[in-house]
Amino acid sequence: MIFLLEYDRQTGVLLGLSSYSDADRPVAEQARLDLELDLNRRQLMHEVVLLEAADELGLRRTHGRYFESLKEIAEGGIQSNEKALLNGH
Amino acid sequence: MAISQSQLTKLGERLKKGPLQESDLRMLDEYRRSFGAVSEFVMQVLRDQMDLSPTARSAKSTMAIVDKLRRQSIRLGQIQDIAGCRVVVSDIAEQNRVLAGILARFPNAVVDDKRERPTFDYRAVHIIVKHDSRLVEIQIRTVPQHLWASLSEKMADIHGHEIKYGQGEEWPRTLLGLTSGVVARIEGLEVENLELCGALHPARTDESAMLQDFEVELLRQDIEELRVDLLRTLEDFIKKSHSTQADHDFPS
Repeated sequence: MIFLLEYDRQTGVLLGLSSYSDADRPVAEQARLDLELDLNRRQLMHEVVLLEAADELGLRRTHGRYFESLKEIAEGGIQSNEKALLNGH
Repeated sequence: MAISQSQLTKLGERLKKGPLQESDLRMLDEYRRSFGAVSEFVMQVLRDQMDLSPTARSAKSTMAIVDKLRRQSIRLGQIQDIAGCRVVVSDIAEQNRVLAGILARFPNAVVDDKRERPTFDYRAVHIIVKHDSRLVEIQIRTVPQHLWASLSEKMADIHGHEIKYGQGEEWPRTLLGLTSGVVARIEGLEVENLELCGALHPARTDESAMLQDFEVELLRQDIEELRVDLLRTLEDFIKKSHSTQADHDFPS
């Protein structure tokens, strides 16, 4: 699947997420360009990025920064470390 | 029509200088789209031949490209990570296995082992693969390396991207440096553990077996202690994120 993300770096908040099938790559690329042009006209400095993953869960795993706050990322790290400690790793 | 190198260089100079013009955004988009096929090819190899779950970014965002052009003295055509993909694996052993698998499929790939030479505390393995005259950067990160990178990227969003390059506010850099150091030590001990377990001889004597088991147990305890240190630094991130939010809500 292809995902189009609009992210505000200054606030660290994801503003938009749309998904497309792999066959719709040209549609997704056009949507990215349209969004970038629109933001540029409105002088908004948002990050616009197209990412591909098997599903949204896979995307969240490798690109958590777009979805989670600093606190949530650190809490996720604590959980996985506690699990590793319990398993004796 | 394909964009020539000189057109690309001029485009990069205009993007660097700003403000962004609509015609330049369209030309950059055309250039980025030319990486789609090679990005798909590399994804297929990782997914279908190596049974991995990669995420692809077939083209770097405009914002990231402009940042890179402004930060480094580099031409647009020289940026090696316009297209990239990322794989997160469990540990160092798996990271080495994936690295070997990629090199077997792309023998001319160039490896940037950031475990040996971290970039401002960022640790991972980056591999630049060339296919059809286009470059794709594959990032392989272990879970702890990826945790650190996610913290660093998020901190950079909040406190400025210069933090990722050894500048800016001190406390985020100090905390990130401490965390990266702990992750590096855990992974170093994991490697030692792997080597020690790999060297265990099936016909070892009772005495040597006891000694080796003792060494393995010591290493396991050291790793546990470091994991507790890592938990503490992660708790510091949470405390700091609270105080940062409070500063944001009630500016003094």
